[in-house]
Amino acid sequence: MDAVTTRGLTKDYGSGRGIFDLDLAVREGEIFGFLGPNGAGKTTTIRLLMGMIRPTRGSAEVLGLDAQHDSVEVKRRVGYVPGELPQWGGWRGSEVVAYIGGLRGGVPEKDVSALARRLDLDLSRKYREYSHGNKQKLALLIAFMHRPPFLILDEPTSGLDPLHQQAFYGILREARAAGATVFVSSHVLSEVEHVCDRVGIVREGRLVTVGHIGELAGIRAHRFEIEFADAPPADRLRALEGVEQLAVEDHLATGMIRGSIEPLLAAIAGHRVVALTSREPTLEEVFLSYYSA
Amino acid sequence: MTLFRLALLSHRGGLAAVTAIAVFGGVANALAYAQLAGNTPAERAVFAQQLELIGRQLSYMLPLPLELDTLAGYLQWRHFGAATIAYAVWALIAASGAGRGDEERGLVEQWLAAGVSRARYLATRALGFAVVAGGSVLAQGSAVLATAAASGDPLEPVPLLLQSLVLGALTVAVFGLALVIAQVTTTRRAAGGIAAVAVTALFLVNSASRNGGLTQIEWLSPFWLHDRSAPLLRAGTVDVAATAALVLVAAVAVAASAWAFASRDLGASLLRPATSSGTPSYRPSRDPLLRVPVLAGLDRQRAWIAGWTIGVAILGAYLVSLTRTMVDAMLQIPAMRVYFERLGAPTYDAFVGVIWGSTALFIFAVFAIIQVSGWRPCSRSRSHAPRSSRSAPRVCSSRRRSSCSAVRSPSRRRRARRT
Repeated sequence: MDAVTTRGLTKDYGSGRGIFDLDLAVREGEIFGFLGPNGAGKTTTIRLLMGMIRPTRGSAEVLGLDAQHDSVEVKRRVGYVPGELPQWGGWRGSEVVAYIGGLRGGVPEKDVSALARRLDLDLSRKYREYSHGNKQKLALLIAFMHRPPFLILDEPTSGLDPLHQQAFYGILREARAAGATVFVSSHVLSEVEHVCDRVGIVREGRLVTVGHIGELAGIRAHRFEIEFADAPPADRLRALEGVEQLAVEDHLATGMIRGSIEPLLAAIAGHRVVALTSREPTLEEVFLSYYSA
Repeated sequence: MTLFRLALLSHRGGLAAVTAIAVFGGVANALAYAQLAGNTPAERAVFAQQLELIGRQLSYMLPLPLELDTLAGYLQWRHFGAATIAYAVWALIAASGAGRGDEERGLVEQWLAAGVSRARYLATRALGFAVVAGGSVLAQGSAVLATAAASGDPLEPVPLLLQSLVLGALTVAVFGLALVIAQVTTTRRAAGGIAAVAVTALFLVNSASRNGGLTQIEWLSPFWLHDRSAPLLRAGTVDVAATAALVLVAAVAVAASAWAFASRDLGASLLRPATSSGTPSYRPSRDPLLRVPVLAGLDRQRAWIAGWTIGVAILGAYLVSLTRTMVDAMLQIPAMRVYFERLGAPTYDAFVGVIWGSTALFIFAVFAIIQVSGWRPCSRSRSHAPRSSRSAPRVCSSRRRSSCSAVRSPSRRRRARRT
């Protein structure tokens, strides 16, 4: 069964803003990355799934429940990190956790303490004294503390230092191992590479593609750097189909080629090559190529 | 239960402030009566006659003075009449916070994400307010009772309790109305401002009704429903139907608010503006006013300032138009005619100064409170940060904001000159 199913889900804010005709399925037990630049519609989608806003048209189901009509039941089963952190003011971290725990009910204190220790979050301090990173940690703690079967996380590592990002990835993997499904939005592609099973890329309110991390890697290009003994064959390189971001300077040619690398090798045949390095582009480079297209 | 505790906690600041004001007012008035009115029936009759003349001039703000020769009558007029204003202001501020303030701060999103339904959230906040309002009116009633007993002029506890409960019913009715208004706005400041205008209008309907005007629509005003009861007077009773109507208004308003909240997007107004198809812009605004600190503040709130100015102008015109009716009614009383003749000033002109001058002072004070209370949420939401991060010291930011408010509020300018 799919944990999330959307059919033509649309929220139209006008001026092309919002999310349009979103057809998406997130499988149970997977970590699904929802990628897109600022304003692409990631947070709008998440708020639709959480029943915080109403769709212009279309529908969404979360854990088999209608995201609008059964939104209260959906929220009870979901751990949620909002895109904008709440302003708890003078509340202490421990008080915030206690109140949210009281509303949910059945939150074991030892789980809260264990999570707080892993995230290195001092709950005795007042919220207004927290750094941005600590506020984010509190939001993560609130989302995970009741061991929900489904987590919706809107840019969850925003403000976290690399050390605590790793701690968060560990918690995320443990949640998946325990059977939880995770829907995580991000524009930090390295974190998607770290933890996600599948990825959906959204641009200007429309879903561009959905696939496994491996599948996305398959449609990638090769980034190359070739050092020639003489002048590089710039014209032949430029004429190659699929070559992007080509830069030729002195004896060095750098760029990216989509598809097979064989045409590139054929093009430089007959020229003395001092060094040739080729690597898989990062997901970030794939991602950027989607948006520069 | 957690949500209910939250509701109680969220009103603790207002509870403390309004209860302190009401207790102080009740105690001060009870003590003052013993000092001012004298101890013999004759002294009190003279006091009552003199004060009724003054009291009739204040009938646009306070109930008509009756039985001022007794402490109970004096408190019914002076203390409970003024307390309705304090409790109404608290109710509208509390409702705008419950309906918008916590939503602006992202707290409502957290409550809802924890599996709380929107209807339950609003109903619990309203119930929480009703409980703290009930506690507050009972506390001030108890203070009045104790002070009256201590000053040797004891009051009957049951009428005092009933009057306190009627005041509580008015408070929750105003809370409900302001909660409905919060659903059609997008910010706490707008919710508080529009609710203040609406509640002031309803208050003035009752003021007009006291002097024979707007009697066709007087029943629309919760203040009129409140004034139907006067249990502290000798033959006074509680108008059960009017008081029940106040409770019904509160219940219907909270239910309507819950429906509106469930029907709208979180963070949005129930009345959604039409979607625009404008093209994006990548340039800073060319509005020159935004580049001048004080004018920028005014420019950003131009719609609000225009609405406020129009509202105050309408209110001023209305109150001035009311003056003739009130003065004519008072001149029917021979003692009042003598009183006005002794004043020496042109009666209508002098009364316009009294009625509009003092009302304008009050509403400009409310305006200043709403403005300044908006600064704190701005600081919390970090809209203050760009200003603070510039080379100018923070005190300059506060000065600029004060300047904006002063430009909008002539009464502040006048007070500033005096000081």
